[in-house]
Amino acid sequence: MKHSLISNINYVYKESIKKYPRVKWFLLINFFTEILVPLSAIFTTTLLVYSFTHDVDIPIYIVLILGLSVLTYVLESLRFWSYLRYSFENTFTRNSTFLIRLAEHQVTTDYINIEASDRRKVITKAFEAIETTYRGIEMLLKQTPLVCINLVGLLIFSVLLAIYVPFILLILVVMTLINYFLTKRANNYLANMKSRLNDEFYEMYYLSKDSTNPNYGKDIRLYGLQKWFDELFVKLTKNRRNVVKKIEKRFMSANVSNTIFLFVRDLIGYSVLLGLVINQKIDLTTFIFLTGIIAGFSMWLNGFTSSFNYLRSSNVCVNDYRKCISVDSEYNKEGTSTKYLTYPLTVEFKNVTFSYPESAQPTIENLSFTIQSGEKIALVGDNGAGKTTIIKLLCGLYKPEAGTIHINGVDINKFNIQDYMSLLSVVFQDSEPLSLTIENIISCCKPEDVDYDKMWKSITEAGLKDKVMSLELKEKTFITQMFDESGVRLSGGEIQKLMLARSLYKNAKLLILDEPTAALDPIAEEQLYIKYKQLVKDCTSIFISHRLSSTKFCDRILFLDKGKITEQGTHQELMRSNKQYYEIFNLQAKYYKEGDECEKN
Amino acid sequence: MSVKKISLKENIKKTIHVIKVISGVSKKYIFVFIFQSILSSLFPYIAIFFTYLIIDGVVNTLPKADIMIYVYWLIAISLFIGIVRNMLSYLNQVYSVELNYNLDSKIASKTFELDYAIVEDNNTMKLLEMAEEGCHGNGGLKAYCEYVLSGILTSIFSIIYGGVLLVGLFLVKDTNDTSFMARILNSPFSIVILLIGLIISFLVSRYVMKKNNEKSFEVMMFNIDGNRKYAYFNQICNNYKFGKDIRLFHMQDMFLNRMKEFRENVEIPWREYSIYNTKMMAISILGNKALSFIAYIYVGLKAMYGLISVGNVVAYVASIALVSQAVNMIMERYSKLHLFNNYLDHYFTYLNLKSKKEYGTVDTIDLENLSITFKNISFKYPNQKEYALKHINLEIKSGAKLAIVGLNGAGKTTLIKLLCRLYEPSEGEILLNDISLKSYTKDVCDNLFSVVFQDFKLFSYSIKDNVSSGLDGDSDKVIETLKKTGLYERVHNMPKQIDTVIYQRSKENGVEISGGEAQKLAISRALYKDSPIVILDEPTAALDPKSESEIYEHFSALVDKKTAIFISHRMSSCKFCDEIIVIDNGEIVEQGHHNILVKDAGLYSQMWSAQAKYYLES
Repeated sequence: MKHSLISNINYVYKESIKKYPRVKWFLLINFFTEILVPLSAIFTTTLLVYSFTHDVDIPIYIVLILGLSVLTYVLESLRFWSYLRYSFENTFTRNSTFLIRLAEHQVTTDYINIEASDRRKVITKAFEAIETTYRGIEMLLKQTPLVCINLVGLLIFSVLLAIYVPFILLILVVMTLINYFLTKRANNYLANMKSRLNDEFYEMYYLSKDSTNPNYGKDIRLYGLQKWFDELFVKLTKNRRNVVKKIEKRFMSANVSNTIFLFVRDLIGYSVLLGLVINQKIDLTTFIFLTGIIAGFSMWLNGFTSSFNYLRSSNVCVNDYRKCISVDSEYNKEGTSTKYLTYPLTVEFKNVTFSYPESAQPTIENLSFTIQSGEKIALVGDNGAGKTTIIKLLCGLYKPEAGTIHINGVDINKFNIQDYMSLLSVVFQDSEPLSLTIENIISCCKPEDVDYDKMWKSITEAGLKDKVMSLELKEKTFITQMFDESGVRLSGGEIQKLMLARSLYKNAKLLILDEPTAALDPIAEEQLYIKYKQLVKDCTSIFISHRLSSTKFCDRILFLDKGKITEQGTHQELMRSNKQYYEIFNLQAKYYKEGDECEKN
Repeated sequence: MSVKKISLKENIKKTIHVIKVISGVSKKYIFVFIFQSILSSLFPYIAIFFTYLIIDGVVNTLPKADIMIYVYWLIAISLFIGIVRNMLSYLNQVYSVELNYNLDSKIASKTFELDYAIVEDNNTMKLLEMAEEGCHGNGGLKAYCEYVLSGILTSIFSIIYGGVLLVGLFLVKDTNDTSFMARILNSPFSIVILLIGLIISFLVSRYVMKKNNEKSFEVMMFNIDGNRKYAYFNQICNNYKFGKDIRLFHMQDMFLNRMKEFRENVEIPWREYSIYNTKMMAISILGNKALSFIAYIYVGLKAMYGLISVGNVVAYVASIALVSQAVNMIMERYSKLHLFNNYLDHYFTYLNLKSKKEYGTVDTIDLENLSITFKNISFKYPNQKEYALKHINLEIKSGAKLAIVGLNGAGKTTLIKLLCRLYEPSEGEILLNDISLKSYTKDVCDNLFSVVFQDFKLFSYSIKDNVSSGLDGDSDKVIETLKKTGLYERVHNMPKQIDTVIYQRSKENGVEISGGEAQKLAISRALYKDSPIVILDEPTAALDPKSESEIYEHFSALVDKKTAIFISHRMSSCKFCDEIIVIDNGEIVEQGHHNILVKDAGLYSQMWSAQAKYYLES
């Protein structure tokens, strides 16, 4: 849905004024001073000439000049003050209000709205609208007053010209129209090329970032990627230069036409004015006054056309922003409360089908299974079989295309999404903690709401107590140095333990673990399995792991192949049935068994 | 960190250095912007000069045709200059592309060249941040030239042109007026009056600019910090990977709270800075107005006493305005120059960082018979107190398959990093074929190792480029390695096969690959490089049992006769190795073949049983 220019202007200004009401005054004062300052400059020169040609007395002259100087001083100071103040407020509005609004959207909207690749393009565009001063929201805030000022200036000067030399006004208007069409071509071209220019910019930006990221340093050195990246720099520079050349050529021809326009303006202007002054139709003072007005008219005109163009392009950006955040989401939808559910929970998938937006085939089709109250389930299968998809569906991150998911017999769609998510604790394989304090990461809430006993219990159970106690600021230590010099970097294993502590703190009744031991050494892994049985005592839980040994803890195993459950049962049952599970288990086990057999021999 | 006070002489030296750097990138750019400065300072004076002739022509009632000649000159010259400026502006935009990108690529090149140990250091990271801010902050080198240098140059020319035009103001004229005022005004020494005005204006500007500078630098440091945090928040919001956790753990309130806190902390000082700025500007304008007031009085009185014509008045007043503007501009731009040079200092400091790694002159090595010896190696990470490795003595024979196991943090990956020369040992040495690793040339060292680290990185470019680590890969060889790692079928089904771009970051629609596929791709890259020593750090951590088994089964085919080192938590992988070493707390505690170690009651058998028991219970 496209919003009109007026609607967008309203949209951004409403926030700006709400945030800092004095902005109204800055804009108002700036409006008047921007128009009065050029006028006063012309007026001063005119007054000067008038004084000599009409023999004004010296004292009067001095007083007049003094008065004018004071006046222009006040006007110019006010102009600068109001301009700078409102410019800064514009930046703040963009960087605070609109950034936070976008951030809010990003963290609360349905997950699928941020993951799907078509949505990601929309999101990137929305970020462009708030990322810099020269585009989008801040540009709209800046250009709106400029357009108004230039328009009013243009009108005033037109009126003055019309009074004295309407013919010149006519010529100017005609020339303006011609010029407008010539520059429109350049601007349209620029608008079309904008996305290409952006792409080039981002390519280069990412290349720079990759090159200087210390995390990439090992691979860059060991694979001699320097040469590759150097070549990419050269290639990208060339690409950008070609795009810039094309754009600038258009602009050059527009600028040249503008220069010619000025040539014609001056030719006609001077001819006409000279004719008038020589024939004594106007006096010298008026002559000088009018030459100033004609020059000023061009200034307003150029200002108006360029502001208007910026206005149009920033309007497009703001529309992108509004489009992004206005997508539907379930975050605040009313729903059944989860308070009355009894624990442990039961989970049921009924004929669930789901496909990813980009893919032609469904990842899972017509899938049905039940997890009984308090059961510990293992989900196994090849990469891409659909395990993580099932988890994301269960978490409410995705919605099934067909079929329903039930908790204790209730369709999960009926719950408010936030309430529902509070039932689950998930440790994902690729979880990365935010660069905040350990207590922030574990408790996930504001410091004033943290339950410290519970937090320390979780830290201990996850096996992190020694590490945390060894830090100077203990639980108030930041992870990474992003926000504080004293921050620390944790190893892969420590991060996994941290993520586990977070799950424990939440103490949810449905616990899902996705490859929780991938980075742990055998001893730590063993300790986790032993703990696991204890941890999930009162929960229903799902465990995904490629290390099939871990499935022994589970009451039941679901084997997933290409989106369908092909086997289910206890470990013993599946081993006896001699199908895929049996095969794969042995694939892993045989290396451990051979040793044993050798030993026996 | 505060502004370094740089003297005028030093500033000039630094500026010349920067100009040399810029002309090294693009001489044409320098010529264009110098030429632009000359023309843009000339332009307004053309108008002033001819306008004065026109006005005086009118006053002296010359015929229209004669006056129109002045008009024709005026517009013709303006047209010419205008068009030349349009062309220069085009050239400027085109040449400046090189300028900006070139700086980035120099920073990247330097980063590549530096020792890994230096790059990882936090201090280097800070310097890098400042270097980047230095060359992009405030508009970067383009602004340095076009705003600062150009401004100064234009102003200097403007003062010269203005001076020439204003000479007439101080010439003694023939006059009959012998009054006191007239005599004063007529004397050339009356120029002092005007000079007083200029000096006042100059002093005021200088004061203002000095004050502004100090504030600016404070703000710049604060800005760098703020920008980094801002970029972080942006990244978190933008990256859907964090989105899962944020929703599932209801972190929205905490996260948004942090953001709001951050923004508030940033806004307050910035707002103060803006208010400060406006106050300073008000003082600066006052200085200007004082000058123009004096000028109007002086010029006006001269006109009233008949010493100069009306046309002259307009011309002189306009010229004085331009000259005073030029004087102010020199002040303002000079202080910006001072600031910029401070910024750019960081950039040059970064570029001057030196690598400490030494290479030798031995350029041949028998790749078929490569033996590695660790002789009494000890190592401590910079800024750490504890030793990560202590007295490591190890011999790896040519073609051996070695497994390194141990608990998290024992030092396994550190050992590998030392072998690859990412770090240098604190004590001891590493020998290759009995010659110290340091004695070999860079070329030899670079081609020795094919490594897949646990935290390997692939880039958002094509599969072919990723596997071949460059732009001129051999497609057949790439396909072969993909077949060896079992990735070929998946790639073959992709829209552009090996030319498909991976990850969504580039402008093309990249294909997302799973963690396991990425791991296989990283292994392909290692195989493509085909080095005599292959090192795999947790190569199957993300793979499903079938893929893992494939890698194991083909392991011998994968590494063939090469020397291979394997780090893994999957004890089963030890079966493929000739020898296993167990590292605990930075020392080798056990060494030998699996069959022997598993019987000893040491750490190895402990770890083995910990994993095996779950498979063996029936």
